Amino acid sequence: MNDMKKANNNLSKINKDNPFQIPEDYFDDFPLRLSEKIHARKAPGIYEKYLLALRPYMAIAALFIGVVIIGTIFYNVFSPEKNIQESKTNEIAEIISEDAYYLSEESIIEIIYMNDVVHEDEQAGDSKDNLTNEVIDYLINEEIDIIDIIDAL
Amino acid sequence: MAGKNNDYTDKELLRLFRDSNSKDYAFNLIVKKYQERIYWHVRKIIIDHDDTDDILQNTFIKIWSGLENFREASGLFTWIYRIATNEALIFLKQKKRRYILPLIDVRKQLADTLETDQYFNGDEMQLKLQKAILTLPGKQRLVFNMKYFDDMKYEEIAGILKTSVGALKASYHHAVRKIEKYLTKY
Repeated sequence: MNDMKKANNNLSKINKDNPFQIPEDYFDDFPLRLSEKIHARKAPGIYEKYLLALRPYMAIAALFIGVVIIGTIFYNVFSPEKNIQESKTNEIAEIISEDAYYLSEESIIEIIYMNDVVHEDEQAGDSKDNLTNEVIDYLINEEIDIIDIIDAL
Repeated sequence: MAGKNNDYTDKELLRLFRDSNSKDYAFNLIVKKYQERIYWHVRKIIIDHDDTDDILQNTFIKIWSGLENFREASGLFTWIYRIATNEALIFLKQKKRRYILPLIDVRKQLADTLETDQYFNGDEMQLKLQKAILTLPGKQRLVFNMKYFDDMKYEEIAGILKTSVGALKASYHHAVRKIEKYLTKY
């Protein structure tokens, strides 16, 4: 408490008059300057009024477009198909990197050759199916009963 | 009805403002009634005259926009002071952000402004006191200025700064001690 009194005593030695100054006639001019500034503020015109009224709808439209864009990007980046494809590629790459050491050039050629043979078989199977379908179509078109054929045999 | 010009009470001014025929007239009276007090309040925070002028204009523009919805939960005087204080503090924050300056550098900048300001006419001790005030934390600075220079009541300051009288008394006490320490040291 004594410190406070002492401090206040020291403060009281300092001239308490306002040391700051202002330009001449500042307070006389201020209300007019302020009034001009307030009235110069542009009142919204018809265009601005429509724009203000449309603002919520524009915001919703922008939000929708944003969601679609983000969704598309998200889908392209994280789609399951791509993940499967990527994981298969990774798996193959992993197998190759692990097993390449043990594989000779001949064995790789053999694998590719066997793969081609399997595909040829599959393709042959497909052509057989095509032939069967053609026969069935012919029988239907010619109205030949399957029982007649069996009897003829 | 009160007499001429600023003899109107705040309630009368508000009633005039709400009447569309006397809105501009009432606002002009409000500006004339409070401009000086608000100016000096802001000037002690901001130091520079031109910046204070900008803040004073912004404060009264906000008052013009918001006065129609003013529900008189506090007095007009308190409300105006609060807007002005907030505007001044926001200005300092923006200044700090604009120049990526820590607050302490903003204070140093304000102290430099004091020394070069053509509108500062204090003697050596007054300059020293202002520099001492600038070393105070923001709220203590406000409290000290409002109590010491403006001689405001704690209750009035409490209404403006939305704080308790007890906290203000403690704040003022600490401010005086720090200033005294500064004055002794420098």
